[in-house]
Amino acid sequence: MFSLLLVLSSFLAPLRAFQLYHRILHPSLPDQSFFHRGTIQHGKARIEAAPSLQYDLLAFAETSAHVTDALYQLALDPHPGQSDSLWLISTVKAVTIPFSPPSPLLLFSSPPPPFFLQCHLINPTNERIVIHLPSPGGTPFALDYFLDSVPSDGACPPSRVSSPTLASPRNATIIFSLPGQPPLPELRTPPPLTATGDPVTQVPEKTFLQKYWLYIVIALGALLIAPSGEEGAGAS
Amino acid sequence: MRWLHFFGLTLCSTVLALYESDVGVVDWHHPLVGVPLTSSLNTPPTFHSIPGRPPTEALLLTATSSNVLACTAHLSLSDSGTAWRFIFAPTDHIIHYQQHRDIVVSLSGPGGSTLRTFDCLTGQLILEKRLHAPHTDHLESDDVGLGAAIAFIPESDDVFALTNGRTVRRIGADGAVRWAWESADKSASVVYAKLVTTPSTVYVISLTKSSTSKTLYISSLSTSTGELVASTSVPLSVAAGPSDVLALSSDAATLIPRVVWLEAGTILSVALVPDLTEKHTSVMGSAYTRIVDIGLQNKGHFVALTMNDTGRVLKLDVDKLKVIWEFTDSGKSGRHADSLYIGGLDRDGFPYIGRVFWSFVVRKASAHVYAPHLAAGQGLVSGFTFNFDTEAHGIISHVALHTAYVKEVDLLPYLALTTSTGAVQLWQGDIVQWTREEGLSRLQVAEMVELPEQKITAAHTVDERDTFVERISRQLTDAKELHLYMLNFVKRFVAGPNASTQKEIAFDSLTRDAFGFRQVIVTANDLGKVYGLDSTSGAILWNRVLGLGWAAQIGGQVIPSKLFVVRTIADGGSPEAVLVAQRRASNGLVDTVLFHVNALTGEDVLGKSPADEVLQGVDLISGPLLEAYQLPGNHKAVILLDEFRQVYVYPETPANERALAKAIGKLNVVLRTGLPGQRQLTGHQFSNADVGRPTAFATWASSLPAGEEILSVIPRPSGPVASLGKVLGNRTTLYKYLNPHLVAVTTASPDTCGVYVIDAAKGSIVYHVSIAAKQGRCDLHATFVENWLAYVYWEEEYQWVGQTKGRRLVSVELYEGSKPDDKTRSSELSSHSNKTLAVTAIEQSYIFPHAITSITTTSTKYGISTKDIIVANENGQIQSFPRLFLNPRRTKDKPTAEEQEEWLVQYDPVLPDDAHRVLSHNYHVANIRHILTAPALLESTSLVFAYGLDLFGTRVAPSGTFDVLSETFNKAQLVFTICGLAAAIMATRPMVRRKRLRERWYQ
Repeated sequence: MFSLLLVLSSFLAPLRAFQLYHRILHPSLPDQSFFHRGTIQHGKARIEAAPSLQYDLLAFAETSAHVTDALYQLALDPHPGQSDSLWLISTVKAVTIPFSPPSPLLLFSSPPPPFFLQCHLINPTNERIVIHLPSPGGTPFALDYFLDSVPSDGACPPSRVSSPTLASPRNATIIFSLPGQPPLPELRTPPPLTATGDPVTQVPEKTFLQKYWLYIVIALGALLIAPSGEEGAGAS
Repeated sequence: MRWLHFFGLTLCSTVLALYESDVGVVDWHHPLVGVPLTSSLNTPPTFHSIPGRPPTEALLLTATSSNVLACTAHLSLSDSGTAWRFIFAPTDHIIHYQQHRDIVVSLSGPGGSTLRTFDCLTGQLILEKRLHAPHTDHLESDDVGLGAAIAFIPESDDVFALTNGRTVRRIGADGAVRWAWESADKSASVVYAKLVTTPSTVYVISLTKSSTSKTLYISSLSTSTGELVASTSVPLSVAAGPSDVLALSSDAATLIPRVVWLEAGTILSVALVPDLTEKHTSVMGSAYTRIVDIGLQNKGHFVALTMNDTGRVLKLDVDKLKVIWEFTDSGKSGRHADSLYIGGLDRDGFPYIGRVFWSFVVRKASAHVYAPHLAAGQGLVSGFTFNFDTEAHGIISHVALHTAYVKEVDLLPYLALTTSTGAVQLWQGDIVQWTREEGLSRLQVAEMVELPEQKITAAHTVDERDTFVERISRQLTDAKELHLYMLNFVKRFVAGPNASTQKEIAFDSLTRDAFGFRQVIVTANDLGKVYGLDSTSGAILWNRVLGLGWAAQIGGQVIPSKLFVVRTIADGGSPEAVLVAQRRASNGLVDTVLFHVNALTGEDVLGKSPADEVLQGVDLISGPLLEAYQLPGNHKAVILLDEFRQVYVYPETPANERALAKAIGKLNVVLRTGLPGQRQLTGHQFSNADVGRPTAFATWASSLPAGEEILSVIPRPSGPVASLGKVLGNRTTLYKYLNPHLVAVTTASPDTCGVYVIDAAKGSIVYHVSIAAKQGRCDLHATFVENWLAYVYWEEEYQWVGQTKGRRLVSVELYEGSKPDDKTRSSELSSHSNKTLAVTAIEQSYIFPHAITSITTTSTKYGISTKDIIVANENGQIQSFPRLFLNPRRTKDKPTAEEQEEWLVQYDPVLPDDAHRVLSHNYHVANIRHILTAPALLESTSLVFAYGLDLFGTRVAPSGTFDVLSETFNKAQLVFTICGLAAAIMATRPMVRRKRLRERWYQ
C-alpha cells in the first residue's frame, strides 16, 4: 500500500468524497474512457486506490506501447455523476517510444533487444496532486498533477527495459489550495490625538547649534586658552 | 534623506512630463461622435436651421450608436468639425431627441427616465431631470425607444414628455413639472407611444403590444391642466407597431391632426378632436403596401408606397388626407435600388420631400427633391445625380435633407448621408462638402506595422545575378543621391527628434522616419471596413470595404476577430497583414473569412480585388471560428481552429504547412469552453492526422468556480526580455519567472471576481486571487508582461479595520523559487516539471485614483527601457504610471542604502495622480476601449495608439530619451567647441614642435 502524506490539515478538504479517474490519451488512439483510479475520502487528504489500479496500468502500458507521445490524464469529478466533459483534468507524459538503436553491421546476428524511451510514469516515487477550492469545503474547480520523476526539461529519460511498464507512484502528496486575497493597501496611521481630540503637536527638532552649542563653546574656549606655538618655530 | 528622495522623484516626473511644445507634434487626437443611429426614427441625423443666420449655417444634429448626442459644425464650412457633443453614460442609452427652437431635448435611459435640454448652438446642458427610476415597470428589454416621446406647442419652451410608456408630463423650461398624467391602465399590453399636441389638447396614442390583440387607444388631455378630456379605442384588423401608425399634425390652425394607419392596403385615418368622437375615414385610390414616416409628421406629410413600390406623397388636408405627388419611376425596377424617402425643412419651416436611390445603370446615386409650396403652390421637383463612392463607403443607409437659397423655381439641396460603413457625408447638390469616417469609432482590432526605409523603396531591385559592371553602374547611379543624403544628415543634426513627425515628412511618401516613429496602424471595424492610419497624425492612408462574398446577395455583416502582421519589412518586400473575420449572413450562416492586404497600400495581396473595388476575402472555414493564432518563429503564418477543432494554416503554402507540421507538437493553446455558468478553460495540443487536417485535442481542463464568467484571457507578450533577474542591494538575485506558456485570466461572478495566472501548456495555476464583489461589480482590468502582473479593481468590501472602499491597483511580480538566488530556469522549464509551481509572488496594493477602461504597458524594441503602465481613465485621459511607483518591493520604512541602490522608494498607499503624466494633456479622449503599444526604432520610445469613441496617438519614453539628444541640447556649442579645439590644436602644434626641438638642443 502506498504511504500517503497528509500535507494540509483536513479542515480545508471538502466534506464529501471525490473520485479520481485516469486514462491514457493520444489522438491516434480511439477515444479512451476514464477508469477509476481511487477515492479522496472526505475530511482526509489521501487516496484510497481502486482495486483495479494495477490492471489498468498494465492495460495503459499495452496501449501506449504502440504510440508516441501518449499522455497520462488524471481527472477529478467535482460533482459526482456528471459528464466527464466537466471533470477537472491534468496531464503528464506517459510516453513509450519503442525504437531500436543502430544495428551493427553483422550479418546473421540476432536483432538487438528493443530500446524503450519511457517517460514520467515509469518509476515515479512521488506524485503531487493540487486540488484548487474556491473556499474551505467548497467544490474543486481545478486540478494540478505532478510527478517527481519529471526532469526540468520534461524530457523522457531513456531506459533499457524489455517491455513497457507503467507504475503508480509510491507516495502521494495532496494539497488543497485556496485562492489568495489581494494585498491590502497599508494606509497611513492617523496622527495621534490628545485627550481633548487635538492632534498631538510634535516637539520641533533642535537645530545643530541648539544641540551642540555647549561643545562648540568648549572647543572655542579651548582654542582661545591654549598657548600659541613659538613664533618662527617652524622657520628654518 | 527622505526629502532628497522626494525631490528626485519629483524631478524625474518633471523631466518625463510632456512639454507644451510637444503638444500636437508628438501626439494627435481625433474626437469622433460615432455612427448615427438610423434604425430608429427618434434618433437619426436631422438638420437644424439657426434663426437669423444664413441657411447654409444650419447644423446637423444626431444621436449615435456610441451613445453620443452631437452637432457638427455648420454646413458652409468645408471642414467637418464637431460643434459639440454630449457623451451619455454607458447605461443611459439615448432613445429620443428632438429639436425645438434653440434647444434640443433628449430622453435617455430605460423608458426615457432622464430628460435633458441643451443649447442647440453651444451644446450647453440647460436642464437635466430624472423623470422616473431608471428601470421600466412594464416595458420589455427589447422595447428600446418604445414608450417615450417628446412634443412641443408653438411659442412655448415647455416640453411634453411621454416616458415609461404611460406617463405624460408637461415640463417647464426651468424643469418644473406643470402637471403629470398617468394612464389608468397598468397592464403591460398597452404602451403609449406617440404624442400629438395642439395649443389646447395633447393626444396620447397607444398600441397594444400583443400580436393577437389589435387596438389603437387614444386619450386627449388638456394642455393647461393635464386632465383627461376623453379616451377612445379603435379596433384594427391587423397588428400594428409604432412604425405602422403615424400621427399627423400641422402648424395651420385649420388643419385637424389625424392618426393614420394602413389596413388591408387602405390608408385609414381618424381626426383628433378633444372629445374623440370622429370616425375613421379612408384614402381613396390605389392600394398601398406601406406608409413611410419621413420625419414630417408635425408638418402633416408622409409617403405611402403603392403595390409596385411607387412612392406617393400624402398631405394632411382639411378633413382628409390628400395625395399631392407621385415620384415617377420610383416603382420596383431592376434599374435602380429601393428608394429612400426623406423629409426636410428649410429655414422658414417649409417642408420638402426627397427620394434618394442608387442607379444600377449609371452607377451613381440620384436624388429628387419635391417642394410642395414652390411654383405657386403647384409643387417643384429638383433632381440631380451625385458620385457617391459605393466602393469606399458601402451603401446609403439614411439620408437627411435640408434646403437653402430657395427661389420660386430653384433650390439648393443639402443631403447628409449615413453609409453602411459608418461614414457621414454632406453633399451640396452633387458636390461633396465633407466626409466624416465615424466608422473609426467602432474599431475592433489594430496592429502597428513598420514602414520601409526610404532608400529601400527608392533603390533598384537588387539582383544577385547582377554582373560586376552592372553593380558598379548601379552604385554610381545611387551615389548621385549622396548630396541629398548629406543634406538630410545635416538637417537631422540640426533638428531634434521631433523633426521626424508628420510636419516634416512628405505625406505621400510611405517611408520610415529616422527613429521609426512613423508606422502604419492597420485596423478594422465591425461595419466592414479596414483602414490604414498614419501613426504620427492619425490620417487615413487607405481604406477598403470588406466584401461579403456570397452573402452579398442576401446581406450580412463582417465582424473582425483578429489581425496579424504576416510579413514585416525585415522579411523583405512590403509588409502584409491578415484580418481574420467572421461573416454573419442575414440567413444566420456564419463563415470565417480572411482578408490579406498590403499594409502600406491596402491592396489585395492575393490580387483578386482591384484597388477601386470592394476587398474580397478568402472563405477559409465554412463555419464559425474558434480561435486564431500566429505561428511562432519566422514563418508568421496564421493558424485557425474551426468549431470541430480542425487546424487551418494561412497562407496555405507548402512552406507554412511544413512549419506547422514541425511545430505542431510544441503548440499549446487555451480555449474557453462550456455553457454560461459552467465555463471551463481547456488546454489543447495539436496533432497531425493521417488523413485530413491536423486537429487540436484537449489535454487539460479546469472549471471555473460556479458562476464565474471569463472576462479576458491575456497571453504574456513574447517580446524581448532584457534582464532575466533583478540584482538586489545585498548582491543576491531574484530570478524572474518567465514561463513562456503563462496567460493571465480575469473572471467575474455575482459574488467574486478572480485573477488567475495559468500555465497554458498544463493548466497549472501559478497565481490566483479572489476578490469579493457585490453583484459582480469589481470593474477588473489587468495587464501582464514578463513576470509582472498588474490589475485594477473596485473594492466594495471594507470590513477590515483601517480599510476603505475604493479602486485598487495590485502590482505582482513573479520570481523563481522561494528566496533570492533560487533558480529554476523557468524560461526553459517544462510545464510538466513540478518546479513549475516553485514561484514566489511579491505583491503590493495601492489606492488608484480613477476608474479605468483600458490598461496596458509600454513596449520597446529590446525591452531594456522601463515598462510603465498606460491607462485610459473615465475622465477621458490617457495617463501613464511609472514603474518606479509600482514596484511591489517598495519599502515600508525609510529605504536603506542597499535598497536605495535598487531605486526602491518608501511605500505610500496612494498612487500619485500626477498631471504631468497625463499623456493626453487637455484633450478629452472619450470612451477608450483599448490601448495598443508598439516599439519604435529607438529603444527608449514606445508608440501608443488608443481607440474607442475617439482616437489618440502619442509616443512615450518611460526611461527618458537616453538614446537621443534632447531638444535643448546645444549642438551649435558642441560644434563650435570641437572646431575651436581643432583650431587650437592646429595653432599650437607648430609651437609645441618648436618647443620640443629647442628642449632637445638644451638637454
